[in-house]
Amino acid sequence: MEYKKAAQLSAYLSKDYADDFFKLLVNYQDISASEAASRLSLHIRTAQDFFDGLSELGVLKKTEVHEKKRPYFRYNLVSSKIKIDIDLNEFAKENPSEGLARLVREMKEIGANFSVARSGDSFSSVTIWEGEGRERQVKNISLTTPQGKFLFHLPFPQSRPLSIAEVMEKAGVDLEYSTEIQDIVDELIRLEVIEVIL
Amino acid sequence: MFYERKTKDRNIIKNFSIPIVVLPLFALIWRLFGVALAFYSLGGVYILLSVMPFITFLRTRNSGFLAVTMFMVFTGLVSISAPPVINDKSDLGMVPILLVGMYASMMVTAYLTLNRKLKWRGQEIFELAAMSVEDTGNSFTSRPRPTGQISISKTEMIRFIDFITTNLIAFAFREENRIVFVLSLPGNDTPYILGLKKDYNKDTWVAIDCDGKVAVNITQEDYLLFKQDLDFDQLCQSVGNVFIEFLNLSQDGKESQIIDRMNALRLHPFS
Repeated sequence: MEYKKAAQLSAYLSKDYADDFFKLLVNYQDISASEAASRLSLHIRTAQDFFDGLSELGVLKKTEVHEKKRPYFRYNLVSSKIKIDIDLNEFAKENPSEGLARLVREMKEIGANFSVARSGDSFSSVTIWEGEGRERQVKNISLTTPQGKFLFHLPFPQSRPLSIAEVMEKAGVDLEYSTEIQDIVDELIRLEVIEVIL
Repeated sequence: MFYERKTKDRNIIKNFSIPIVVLPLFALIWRLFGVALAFYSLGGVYILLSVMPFITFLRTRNSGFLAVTMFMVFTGLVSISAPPVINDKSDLGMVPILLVGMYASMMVTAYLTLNRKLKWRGQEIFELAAMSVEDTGNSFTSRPRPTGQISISKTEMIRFIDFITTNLIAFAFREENRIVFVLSLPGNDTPYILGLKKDYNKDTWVAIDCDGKVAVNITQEDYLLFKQDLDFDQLCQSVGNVFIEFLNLSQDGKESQIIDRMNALRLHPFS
């Protein structure tokens, strides 16, 4: 199941009234939103949204019926079992070592503040000021130890840039940390703290 | 040896701030309340201020500051002893002995001052570091920079700390896993000496950790001390190299060469 779909489904399942609706859906052949709402003393809009949402996610089947009056919808369960199966590997970088050859260095006049960790050989956090004037906001990023060591060894502005792999080697950071290093590098590139030299 | 100075001359007037404040005050009290009170006030101020060089002696073990302390104490005592003698010149009391002490300690203080033995050497370090930096371009960053690694034993480090502190090259902070040498310029040392300042992060420092890794941090204020916008990366590396070289000389028992190198720059004793 896709993560977004699982998240939406989880949101519906976590509603206070969700189990009451499912008790009805399991025991009825089908049910309309107004019938369910009146049975549970809820607003019809709540029932309508809940059923429509689950229909879009494929949990319920929505059928339009005509009983000598204006058409309305009846809902029934597609299956009595809901299985949520999320593979978090979908977030893993496709090729972690791909970006390690990028030449990086600190950008000139960034105005960011790096806090030295107690150990003295790495940074514990980096504070960046975003925006200007009244819109100016402080963003503080706490760093993992490998990230802190990496940034401690990042080349200075205007100095010879080094590849991410070279900086990691200088900092004594193992390659197994390459994904978290690249994550902070990408974020700091976005925040214009690090520049990539092409 | 000819070399091009790369740091700006600093204003030396603040080195004379005590006489600049005290002497007009002395004249004012003399005029308003008479000579006796003026001398007593002057003596009191000198004895009070003598605490400062004495604390510096205790913190740095630089015996030159004992001479300064004695000079200030003798000057204070002479001032306090002066009013009775002015009234009755036949009874000199201890004044001649105190005057001898004052002049003797003054001569010693003057000698030490002119030979830069009472001067914090931060600027000399900057000057030595800047010698090898030719590239320019404003590339300042507030980050510290790792500059290398050396092999040093605990005993050698203790000896180096003592040497650096006694000779006023830097103020040493002993931390759990590293030693931080704060490079102090004359006049900026007082908060550290009095123990009022313990956060060195906003000052220029060189840190050496247990593994011998050296890191350098230069503040923007100290970076502006240079006449040109020297390449910041090279400058930090060079400051680290200067310290590593000093450490190597100290390991070889050649500490006098460190002092000779700094004296050879011939910077103004009061700058």
